[in-house]
Amino acid sequence: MSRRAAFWLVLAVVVAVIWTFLPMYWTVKYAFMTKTEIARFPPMLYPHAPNLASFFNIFGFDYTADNGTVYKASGQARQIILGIRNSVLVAVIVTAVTTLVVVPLAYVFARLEFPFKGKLLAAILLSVSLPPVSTLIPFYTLYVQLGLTGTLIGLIIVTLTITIPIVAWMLIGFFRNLPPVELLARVDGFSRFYVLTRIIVPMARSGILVAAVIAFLFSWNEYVYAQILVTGSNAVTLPAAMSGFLFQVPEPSQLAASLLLSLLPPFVIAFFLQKHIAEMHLA
Amino acid sequence: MARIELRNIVRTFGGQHAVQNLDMTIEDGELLVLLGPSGCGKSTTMNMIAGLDSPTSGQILFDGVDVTQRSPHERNIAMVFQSSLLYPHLSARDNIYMSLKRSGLSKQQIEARIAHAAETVDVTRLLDKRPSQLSGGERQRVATAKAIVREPAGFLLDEPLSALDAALRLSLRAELVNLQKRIRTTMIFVTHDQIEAMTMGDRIGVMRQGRLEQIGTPTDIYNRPETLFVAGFVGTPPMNFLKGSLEQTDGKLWLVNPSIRMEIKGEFASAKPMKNVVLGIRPHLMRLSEAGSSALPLTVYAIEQLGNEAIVICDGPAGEKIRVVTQAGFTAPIGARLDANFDSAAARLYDPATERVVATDGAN
Repeated sequence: MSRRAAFWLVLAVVVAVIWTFLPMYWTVKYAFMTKTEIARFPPMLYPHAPNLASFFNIFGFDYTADNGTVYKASGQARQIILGIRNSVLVAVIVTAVTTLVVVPLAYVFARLEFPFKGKLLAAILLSVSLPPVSTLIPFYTLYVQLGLTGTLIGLIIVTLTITIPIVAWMLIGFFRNLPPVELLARVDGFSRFYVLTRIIVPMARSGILVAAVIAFLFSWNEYVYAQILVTGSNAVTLPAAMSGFLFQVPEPSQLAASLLLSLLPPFVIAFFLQKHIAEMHLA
Repeated sequence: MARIELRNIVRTFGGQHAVQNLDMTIEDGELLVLLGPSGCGKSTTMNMIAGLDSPTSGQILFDGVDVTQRSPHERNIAMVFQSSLLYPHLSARDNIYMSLKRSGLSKQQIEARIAHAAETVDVTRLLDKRPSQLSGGERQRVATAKAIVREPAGFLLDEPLSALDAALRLSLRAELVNLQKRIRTTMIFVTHDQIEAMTMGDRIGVMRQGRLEQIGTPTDIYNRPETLFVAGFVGTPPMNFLKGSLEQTDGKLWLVNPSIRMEIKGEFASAKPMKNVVLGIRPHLMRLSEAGSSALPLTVYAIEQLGNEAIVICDGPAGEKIRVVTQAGFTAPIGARLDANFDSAAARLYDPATERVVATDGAN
């Protein structure tokens, strides 16, 4: 590569990195600043006197700064704490159910022939392509009638309608690319069930792991349904609870602090699964 | 080890005949090669022998016992698949072990069998490696060990060498034949490569469009092809074909076409006259001579030097390509006129309508 080309390449990478990280940096910055600091113009490029007030406030604790100023606990604290608990609960259950349903489903679609396979596959793709908003109102009216609004089980069911098709679509592709070991297994005398559970699943370990992570992230980040179905109830999830900082009493610093918290699990997962995600790409 | 019999096997896929009325017997301890172009039904046939596919009608017998409805495992066959398929997530040892997992043998017996199989094909030092850590040839050997460890009734191989490079194929070919003779197992080998078939098989079954065209020893298949297809498919360079008619004059039989008139000698001398006939003659059995000296006029099209011999590719009088094998270093300008002659007793005659060899009064 010539020096000129290298220069433009580096420049492009720098622009892309800034483009991606600037909003995140702004959020991180807000989390350690006070309301008045945030309101200042021109904006401070970094927190001059970083403080942890917002992190205490969102969990319901007052925070006394070095200069004696007291930052009061947030009225949203209960929602945030509930939100964290519920988000973890919903995400774990959704991930488990999705994986249990999708592994056999994807295996059947990827490796076996049966009538109407093409049409059923198209139906899965169709439900992937539907924007969640389009099913929001039907779900809402149905849930009101069934009494499922404001319940965790209601939210889990809705979230599964998003995760199952998407993850199935991913895994079908992954399973298709596995070598035809069923032939070996038949010669070796193993049953279909043994093939799936003891041969295909271990072979597809990284693909299944990535699929589970995708399900987890979809559930963890799900906002649209949560906002309509569970906001303000005991079944509130973290994204819905956080939106209170935006819409009820604007608290940019506390919003930023809770956003950072909500970023932690995906960040940790992505960090530990890098190897598997790369492997999935190769396959 | 077993004697494998196919009786009137038919296999259709959605109305299409993949295999039609196939009768074939593979003797105990024999290495039979199924040869044919892709789509000829050879893999379908092998899958039915294995029990991976069931015939639409017909019977498969192992040592006289009908196994048509039995699973591959119950038939006790072993199979090496294309590209030497192995379980990618298991070590070589575990791959071999999977063949015996359902066998009911004791742990010690299994270990002894694995050790013996690994030693037989020389993969002992590779046992702890995964397939992805093995070379193509090593994978092939591990797949072979996985097959022989079962001590199978039949050992089936579906184009196991097709993904390997030429040099490796050459050595693995010999290795497999050597192994088959040592352990005296019944082996069926599927390939589309006629050289592989010729070099490996005790007998070769040539298939085309779901039918068995001819079955016989490599020498038989090469010297006495029964059909036009076998004549053209087996042999490098392929057999030459001359069209013409058979005429009888003076009690002799003549092949006649606009450029030649040649007396037919040998076994076909007793054939009946016919309007359309195809004469087949191997390129090795033809001799080149100066133009005008004999009956078959040729024009040089290209010359391939192989080091030990040369192949002269010529345009024949009817525009067909005629290949003649001659001594190494033979040169002639492109477009030069040459003549070719051959002993008609060494030629074969085919009926283009039936594509079969012409009937004679002789013992054949």
